[in-house]
Amino acid sequence: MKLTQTTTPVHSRTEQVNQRWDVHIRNQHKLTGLCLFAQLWLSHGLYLIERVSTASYLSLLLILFPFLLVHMAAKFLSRHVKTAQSTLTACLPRPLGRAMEITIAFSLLMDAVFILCGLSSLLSELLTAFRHFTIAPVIGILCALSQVQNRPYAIVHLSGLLFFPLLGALLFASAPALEEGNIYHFFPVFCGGIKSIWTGSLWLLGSIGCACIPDLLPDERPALTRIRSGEKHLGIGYVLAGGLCALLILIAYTYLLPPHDLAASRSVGTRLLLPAQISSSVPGWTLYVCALILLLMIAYSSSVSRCGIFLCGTCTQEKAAPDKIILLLVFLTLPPAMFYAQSVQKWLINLLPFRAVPYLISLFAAYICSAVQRIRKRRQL
Amino acid sequence: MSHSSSQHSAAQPLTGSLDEKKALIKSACHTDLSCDIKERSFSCMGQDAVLFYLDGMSDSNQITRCILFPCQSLSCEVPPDDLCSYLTEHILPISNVQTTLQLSNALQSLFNGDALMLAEGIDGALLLDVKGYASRGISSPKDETVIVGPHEGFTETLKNNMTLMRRLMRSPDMITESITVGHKIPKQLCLVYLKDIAPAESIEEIKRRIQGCNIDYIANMGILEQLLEDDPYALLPQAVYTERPDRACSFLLEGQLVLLLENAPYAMAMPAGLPHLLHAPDDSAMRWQYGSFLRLLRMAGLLLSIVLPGLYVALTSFHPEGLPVTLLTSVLETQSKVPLPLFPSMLIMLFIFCLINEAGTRVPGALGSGLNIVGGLILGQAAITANLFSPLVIIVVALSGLGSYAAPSYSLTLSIRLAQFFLLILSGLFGFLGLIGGLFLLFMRSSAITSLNKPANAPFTPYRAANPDHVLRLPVWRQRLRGALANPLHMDRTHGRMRAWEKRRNKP
Repeated sequence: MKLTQTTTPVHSRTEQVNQRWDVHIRNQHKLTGLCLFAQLWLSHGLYLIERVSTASYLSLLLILFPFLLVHMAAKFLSRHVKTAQSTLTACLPRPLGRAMEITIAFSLLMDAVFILCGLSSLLSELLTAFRHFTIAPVIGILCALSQVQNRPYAIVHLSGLLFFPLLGALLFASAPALEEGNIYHFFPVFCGGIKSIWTGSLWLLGSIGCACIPDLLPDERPALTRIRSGEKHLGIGYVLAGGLCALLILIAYTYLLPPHDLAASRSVGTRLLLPAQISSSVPGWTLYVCALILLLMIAYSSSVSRCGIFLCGTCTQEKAAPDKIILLLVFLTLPPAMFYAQSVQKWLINLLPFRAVPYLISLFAAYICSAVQRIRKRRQL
Repeated sequence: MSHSSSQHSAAQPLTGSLDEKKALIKSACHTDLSCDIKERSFSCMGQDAVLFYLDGMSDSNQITRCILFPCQSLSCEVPPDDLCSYLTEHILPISNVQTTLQLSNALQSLFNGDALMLAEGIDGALLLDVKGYASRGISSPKDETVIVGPHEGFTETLKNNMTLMRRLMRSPDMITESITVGHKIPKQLCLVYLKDIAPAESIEEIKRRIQGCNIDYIANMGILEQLLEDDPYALLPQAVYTERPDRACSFLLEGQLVLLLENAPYAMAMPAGLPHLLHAPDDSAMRWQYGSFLRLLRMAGLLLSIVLPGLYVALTSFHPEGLPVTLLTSVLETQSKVPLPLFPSMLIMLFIFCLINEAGTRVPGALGSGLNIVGGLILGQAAITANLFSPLVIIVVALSGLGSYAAPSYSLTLSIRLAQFFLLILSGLFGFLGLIGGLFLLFMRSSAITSLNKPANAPFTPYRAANPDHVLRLPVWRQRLRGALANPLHMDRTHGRMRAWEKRRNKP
């Protein structure tokens, strides 16, 4: 009796590699979606909604600018890179590529500081028995422990698992708030102006780009061939889903709530907890708070981890940054969140929209380099 | 093999005259010290011969009937150079007879229960399979009881266990490879897999790891698991045990590898992930609605068990604003009568619960249930009456304990207990930050675990579309593919529809 009914394997080894690659890409984009969600939420807490959310909302509606640019960048890089030691160093002259990677790492470190400030502010509202500066080290230790001696894909896998539950929990917890609002508060969303649209789009591009660039070039030829041949590029939808969900909830809270709640001078933590206070349901409140803390911890850990990966130039090699680098980065993010949270946040508000600039510069430089190489080849022929 | 005897003697060849070979065996086995090694001299076709066997490991009746009687009753003279083949082909009515020139092989067979025959005119020794040691009969599994399904369980005898599996998988595709582990006292290990389904890289990897087990003796399967697993510091187990041959066979059909060890009444399957630890043996035997319901119930119980103590402490001690006033009042009222704060009292109660559970497991049979009654009912009631613990604390601990019992795997139950304490301590120190931080740490650690180089949380994460038998136990006729965790060579279990007799609705 033959126990196997088929005579040929259903999945060849190449197909299996492709499937694994697709899953990895999808999870990477889920992680990016969660990070985007977390940052939009914190921006809401900082009352940046006019500046960021308006532009992001429009960008996400139009989609074209950040999404298409990244997608085109993926195709461009996959055509021009034969070996995938490192994304940017392969396209650019080595020193310039490394410089770009370090700049991107720096922007991710800024993200980590931004998120840590927000998370410690939220927790200082919740844990009244603790002083503000004692909370950030605890978060740092927990996140460092989660990274140490773990493989680089652990957080990517975790995001794949928690993407829908987290979004679902936040949507569920925010549902009661919808009854409280007034639809006319929705309209200020379009009053941001051109400048805010531009900065918001840059910010979004930076947030999406930091996740996409490492994914573009895996160390596997079949995946490169698939990208080149224009086969499905999975995962970007999850980034958009994350962003849209965050914006939907933000819009629900910000524009459907009475304006005096928004106008009042409050801390980031209070503002983040404002939506939960609308609902009197115990599971709703617990779910909201727990989901928010988990979301921000994932975003913080992934920012630190990705920063380390870019710093070590291992962004396309499925290698983790060394534990010492991770610990050092966590240590670097702690002082601003412990002692200068408010001033650092104000400073970052102005700086973060420009985090997309290194991506644009690196793509432009890569394009110039490839054009120069093409011209040289033609002359040689 | 280097047996209990010295290494140098075991490495020697078994050659020379009968007296020399006899002296070698006696020296290697310490027959002057060991009382269970028997030596029987006799004459076979005019040649001197000697038989070594272990009293209790070999069947003395079989030795008399199949070796001594035929050999001693022969009167014909045969040239000494043909003695070995003549005995094997015409005289000895034993199914398995082998010849060896190595002392190590001879000793291994002797200690496995074979009889060792040395004679003038025979090079080396004859290994005669007359095993006959006492063993437990096949009985129903104690730890994996089922309502629906077969009631046969593995025993301590490797051969019986292989037979039980072979009876269920009567196919040449089922390969049983025998491997020896332990350099001082070797033990038989059997690697079982399906040839066309189990991936070659997994088979090579497990063999590489088994060969790399540098240990003198493997007492039980737990030690072997710890030597073979990918991440020895992880909380979650990376292999799954079963006492049931039917479940072991279902693992084979998923492309997993099954290990059977001599003297171990269970099988170990690798690679194994979280889904395998959450599935009970009779899930597949039930109708899919019942199976799915029971699985959901089990998972909810596990979640409750891990999170509930920590959540209760975090909510009542750090975030009372999250509780409704009536509940908060009730909690505060009951807690006000108790001298200990909530966090230590919860920690102590959880510890007492684990203590009662452990004592109940270790105390023999009838006393165990009595102890559980004394511990659970009388102690609990007395503690409430004496205002030592709040009734809500006891309810929370009892609920979380109940949830942990829902885990089908004992290893998983223990890891849940440890996770309970870990989350409770963090919650008691940092409220929601501790609880969520602890969960995050546990999630991250479990996401990084691999079993035989396969992600152990697959297909939850990374998600792989394959057999839908994960969270829910979906209908059998929809399970056309095998589980993706083991990366089987052939993914599909069948061609076309399983209910092929059923007419399609859209076709006449």
